[in-house]
Amino acid sequence: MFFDYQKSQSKLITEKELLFESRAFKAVNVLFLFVLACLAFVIYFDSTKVFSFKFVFIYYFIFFGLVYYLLYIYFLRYLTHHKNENITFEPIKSENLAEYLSFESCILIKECLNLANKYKISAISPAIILYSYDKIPAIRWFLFRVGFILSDNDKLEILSHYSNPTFRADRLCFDKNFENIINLAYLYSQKDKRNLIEIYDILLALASSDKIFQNILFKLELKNEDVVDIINWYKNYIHVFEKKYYWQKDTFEEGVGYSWASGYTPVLNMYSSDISSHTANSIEHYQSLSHKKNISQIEQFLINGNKNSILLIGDQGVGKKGIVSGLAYKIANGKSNDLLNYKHIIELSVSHLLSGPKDQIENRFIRILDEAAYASNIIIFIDNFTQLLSSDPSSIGSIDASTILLNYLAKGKIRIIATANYDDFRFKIESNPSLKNLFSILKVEEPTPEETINILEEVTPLVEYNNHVFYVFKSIKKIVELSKLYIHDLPFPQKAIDLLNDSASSASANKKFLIYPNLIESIVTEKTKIPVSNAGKDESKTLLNLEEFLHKRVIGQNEAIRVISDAIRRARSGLSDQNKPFGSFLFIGPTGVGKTETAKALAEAYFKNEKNMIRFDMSEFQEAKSIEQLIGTSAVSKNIESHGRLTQAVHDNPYTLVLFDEIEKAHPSILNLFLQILDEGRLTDAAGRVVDFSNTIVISTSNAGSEKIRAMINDKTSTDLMKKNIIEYLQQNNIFKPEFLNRFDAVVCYKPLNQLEVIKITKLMLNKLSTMLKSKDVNLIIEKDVVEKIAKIGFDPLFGARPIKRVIQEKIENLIAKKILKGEVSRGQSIKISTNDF
Amino acid sequence: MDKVDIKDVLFWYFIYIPKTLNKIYIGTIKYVWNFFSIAFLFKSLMMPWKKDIIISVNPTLQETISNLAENLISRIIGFLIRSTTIIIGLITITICDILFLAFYPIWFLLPLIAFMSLIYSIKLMVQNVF
Repeated sequence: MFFDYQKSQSKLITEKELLFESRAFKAVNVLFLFVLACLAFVIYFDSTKVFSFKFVFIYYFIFFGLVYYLLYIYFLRYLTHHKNENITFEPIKSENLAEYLSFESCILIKECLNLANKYKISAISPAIILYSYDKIPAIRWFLFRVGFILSDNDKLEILSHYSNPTFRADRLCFDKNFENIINLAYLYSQKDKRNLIEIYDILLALASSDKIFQNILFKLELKNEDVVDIINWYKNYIHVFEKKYYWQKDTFEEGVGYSWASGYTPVLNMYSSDISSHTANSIEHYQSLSHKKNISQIEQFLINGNKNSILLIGDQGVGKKGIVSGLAYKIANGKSNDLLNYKHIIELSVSHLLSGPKDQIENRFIRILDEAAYASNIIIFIDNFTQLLSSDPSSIGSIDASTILLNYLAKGKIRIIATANYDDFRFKIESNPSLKNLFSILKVEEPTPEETINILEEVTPLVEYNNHVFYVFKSIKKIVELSKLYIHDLPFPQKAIDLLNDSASSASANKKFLIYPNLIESIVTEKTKIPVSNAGKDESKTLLNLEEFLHKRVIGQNEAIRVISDAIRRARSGLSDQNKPFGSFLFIGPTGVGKTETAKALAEAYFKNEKNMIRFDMSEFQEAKSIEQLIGTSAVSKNIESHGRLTQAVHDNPYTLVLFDEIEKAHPSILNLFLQILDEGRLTDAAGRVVDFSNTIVISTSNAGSEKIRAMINDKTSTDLMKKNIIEYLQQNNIFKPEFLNRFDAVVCYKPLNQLEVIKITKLMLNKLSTMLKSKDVNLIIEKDVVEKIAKIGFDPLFGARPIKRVIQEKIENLIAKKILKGEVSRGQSIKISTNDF
Repeated sequence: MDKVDIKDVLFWYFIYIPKTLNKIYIGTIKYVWNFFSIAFLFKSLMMPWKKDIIISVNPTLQETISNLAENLISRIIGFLIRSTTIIIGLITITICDILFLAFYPIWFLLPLIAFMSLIYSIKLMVQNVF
């Protein structure tokens, strides 16, 4: 195939379209004015005969002329851009790629030719496409989203580079690369089963094969997937925001006669609002693209299901209400199934309904359900449905509506879409199987970051329109990235939408039009008090110096620290599986050698706070049923704490270190949980909620085999052999199964401490005490012998460095406390501790 | 683009615009048909107005007759409103038809009328001046 725009039919058609839009309009206007002038001429020269019969023709002409003119002015607004309709729907059979260009693409090519003529460019290269943004809105939109914004001077300078002194307009041509781009764009359009090459096909081809544009994207830190995402966004964007005229609509709103065939709902109207009428023809609720799957599932339930009432279960903020709005939008615009089209989704105001005495509430509710059943065109939407299922119905403003609802739902009299969160569902609905069985249950999962980007793409144009701002694509990605990392009180997409709105308001208030990622960072910093703008640099620094950082707290254990640091670095540089915890370690060794301290130090190094750690003493989980404590219980009782301690903690804070101390003491069935966590990076709790562990560091510690380690140390066994032997020992003695051990990133052996290391640990602990006293303006002076004496007293081969803390408490802290209480030491003074003091 | 070709103007005037107007015309008729929900109103022509009917449990003869009468009134009201709406809808469609149909001859004859009036005015001018 070849590319010859100059000789193509597309060029002729496009130029004709452009002609009709401009010159023809003027020509006809001139013609009409000419006719009016002629008439005036006639009337002026023949005014004596104005009322004669033969002038009826002229009156007819004036009357219809005016009617014509009004209609003409009215319709002419719409007589534009027919986008080569003749060739849109018919297959094109041509070897000339130019014949496949859409109207907009032709205009783009035409603009490239204009630029080439203006700047004396002999051979048009693909990069010229980028500089046509002045005239081509799609290119402008794309470049702004990409963040490639040029001033007029930049444009002039760059285009001047392409100019050729020997330029001749009659020899103007497209270079080979340009033809390749059009060819590639053609392949993209064919792949998408379209006839015409659209501008976004050309942009996609440009991004995937033009070196200059690829270089620009690289500098802007955008990948090819990002470009595809931006282009898909554009496709959806033009589809939604394309101006549609009433006769072009493939769907119409509800006609006047539909509601006349359904009953009156006076009480329901008082306690509800009609979502359908709010959403109809409103772009605010068009999020039907992101929730497409859930919406079609609800439609299927409403049409086919035996249980045509639906319960949406999901955490607050996962988009349950957005789904219902999307459905209402679809139904109100007649885009759903015929059985559902033009039905009204009415949201019941539960708080309003529950006002007054119990009898009154019940009567009111029955009346509402009766009306809805009788009206027959109503789907009731109840947000937080469990508010109607009070466990204490005798209290004021509460009812247990389950008995009332059973009657209506069992007979299929009404259709309800209700929402509930997981906890309420388990407490109030699962405990009532007869009620639960009347609903089709649909779990609304938290969208992934990628899905959240798509949701934001749908929401952003409206936010931009309301706040007069414009987001570059990287800002959208940043919103998702930062809200994932630093905002844990809400799930996706709500937390991302909140951040989007906050950033738009902030930019609008500061009169900024373009929103870059740094604004998002500053807003997250403001909200969370975490300096996120340096997070990337800080993380790299931490990772590179991880050994040094860990050794500030962990004395000795060089080999263990090296193994851990290497594993974490591998995970964070993207070399490990992204769907696993980004670090998982089994620390084996005697007690008091620094296993837990390493975990704390790692939490401090990586998660900025040692308290950012969830710790479980696994000796508490020795029975099989204690698994319920970790993942929750499916047995529902109002008196039992049903949240899993592990699943809830990680759900609430997914960026954390999870420490399982003395793992060998846990029941073997609990160890099976680890297989899922370590393998898939997630765990399903008793309620069926999937908790993500892919951003956690999982550390298990064990004392099993510590005697073996001690013996091997005495025998001076090499580190590798020691690790191999200890793993064999743990397997042979059935302490851990091979599949359990193999799933950790590393099994790390901790060696018993020697005397020198114990002295260092003692120094570290005394330094801590000294720092604490310094904060009270008391100076602590400790003689060298004191450190050695405490290390000697505190060291226990069985318990490692653990007794040292107790010795410091008994020998030093008690002494200081007494001195302070007796008034022997006051602010600004020093306390000297020598070996004689204890 | 710089020159207005008479062939293009003629194409635009006699083919392009009428074709576009055809689309607008068909779309307008569909819109009006849907707006007045004429098909649905025909289907539900005899249904009671807003489903407003009375059904008594174990009615007496008097109640049965009274219910029948009231339900009949509801159906009559429904019929009257629906049939009126259908008629208004059909009239609107007819007006649209007339307007569009009237537009086509005017549109096509306008250049001819302009040309004729020019000739006529020149003729009058010649008669009056000379």
